[in-house]
Amino acid sequence: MKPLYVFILCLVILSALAIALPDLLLSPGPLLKGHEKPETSCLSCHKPFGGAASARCITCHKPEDIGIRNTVGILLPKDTGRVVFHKGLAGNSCMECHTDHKGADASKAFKTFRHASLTTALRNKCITCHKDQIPENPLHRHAKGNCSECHTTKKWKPATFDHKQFAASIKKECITCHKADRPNDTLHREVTASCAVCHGTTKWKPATFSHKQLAGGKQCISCHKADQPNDNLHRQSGASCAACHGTNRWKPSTFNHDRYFRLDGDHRASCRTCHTAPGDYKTYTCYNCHEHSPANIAAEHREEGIYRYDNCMKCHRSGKSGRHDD
Amino acid sequence: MWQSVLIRRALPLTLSWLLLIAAGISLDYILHPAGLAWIGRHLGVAGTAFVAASFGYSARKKKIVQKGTVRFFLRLHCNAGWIGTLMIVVHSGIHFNALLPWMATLFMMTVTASGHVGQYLVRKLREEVKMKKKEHGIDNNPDEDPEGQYYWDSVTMKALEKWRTIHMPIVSVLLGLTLLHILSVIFFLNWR
Repeated sequence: MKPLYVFILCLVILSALAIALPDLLLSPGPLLKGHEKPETSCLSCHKPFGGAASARCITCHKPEDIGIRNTVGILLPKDTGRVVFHKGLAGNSCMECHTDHKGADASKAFKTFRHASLTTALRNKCITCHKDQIPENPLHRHAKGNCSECHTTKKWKPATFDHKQFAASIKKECITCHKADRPNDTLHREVTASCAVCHGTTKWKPATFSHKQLAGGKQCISCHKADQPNDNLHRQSGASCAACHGTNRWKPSTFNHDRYFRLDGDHRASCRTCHTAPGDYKTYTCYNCHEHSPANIAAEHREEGIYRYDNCMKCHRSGKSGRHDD
Repeated sequence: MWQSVLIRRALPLTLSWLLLIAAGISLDYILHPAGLAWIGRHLGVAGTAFVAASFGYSARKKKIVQKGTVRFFLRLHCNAGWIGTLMIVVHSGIHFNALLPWMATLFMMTVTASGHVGQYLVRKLREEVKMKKKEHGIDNNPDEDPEGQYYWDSVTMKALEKWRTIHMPIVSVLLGLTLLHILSVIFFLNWR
């Protein structure tokens, strides 16, 4: 049999079947409960070459009755949200949420719901329809504005949040919303001030930290342990960081040994040689070096008529001898 | 064993057909979670366009299209048909509702399988013709002996006639189903 005849025969048979049994051959899915009658009469809802018009929906489903009574007039359980939502809708927008054959789930609608279908008053009251979608978190509990202040109608995220929406009293309570953002480190455990003292509302970093916020008596090393260089000087020194460093920056360090004693060639010894008390750099001795024995020093000074020579540094600012070395 | 036509030709063609199904299902599983299921809807149009392009081979054989070699159009027929079939498999997705489009999908898979069988037959027959020529000491260059080549081509064509008696009717049924499916979509769709 010629292919053309097969094609024509097939077309005729199938067309006849499609007209006789449209729900079997053509229906893309079962209809919603209540629409059983139109099941074999597609044209109850579908206009040829024009699709299913919303005008046909409202023949039975009057917008002012939606949520209040069903199509046969029986009162429905109260659902204010549904009533208000449908009341504010344009009459030709049923298809934006409801695609029969795919169930009542709006997310399966062929058409995208357009907020433009809503009246202006309803469009500005996002909460009327989206009440159940408000996340349960401190941010949304404190935010008093309309959803549209942060969110667009296309999707929830990304949102454009502005701290200005909060009342002044809430703005100070950063931790109410940002508890999870707080780093679990020593610095943040020690600082009890509000986040806003160091951080802006645009981003966390850079932060403007001031040591004045810390309660007194804090050891530098409790926060700056990782900052301590692993070198001889710092390993030997048991002093607080503040003995040599300021709080603005590490370098240059504020400590200058030359102010007290110039460490010339003969005096490049370890700190412990002169500062025997661990961590105490205010006290020193010159007698640990074989050059300076107490007996020699005593003899040399008495010879000069000097009898108080316990504070060597008062006269000797370097390895050279003499009063206030030149 | 590895040199037999069954292994060298039939196995790859079988894998090609199975790959079609696997690729179609995989793509469906990717598109849905990504929220891109709407692409499948449009792939119906694209797939039909590809399958329509594959009919260029028939047009060339009937000399409706006069330029280009038959060999080129045969390759176009095979490749465009495979790609078009893949697109339509994704378009069909894994939903079972109306009978008409599903019959069209099944017939399309049958036609594609039949096409793979045709490919196998063509290759097998070419190998056999080559062997027979070698046996009889015939070493004709197609360019130098077009008549001789024409004879061997018609031998191949005759052998494929039986296969065509099955392939062509199922293609006709497929065309009928496809046309009716397209018409029904146009008839019922919400264009606005």
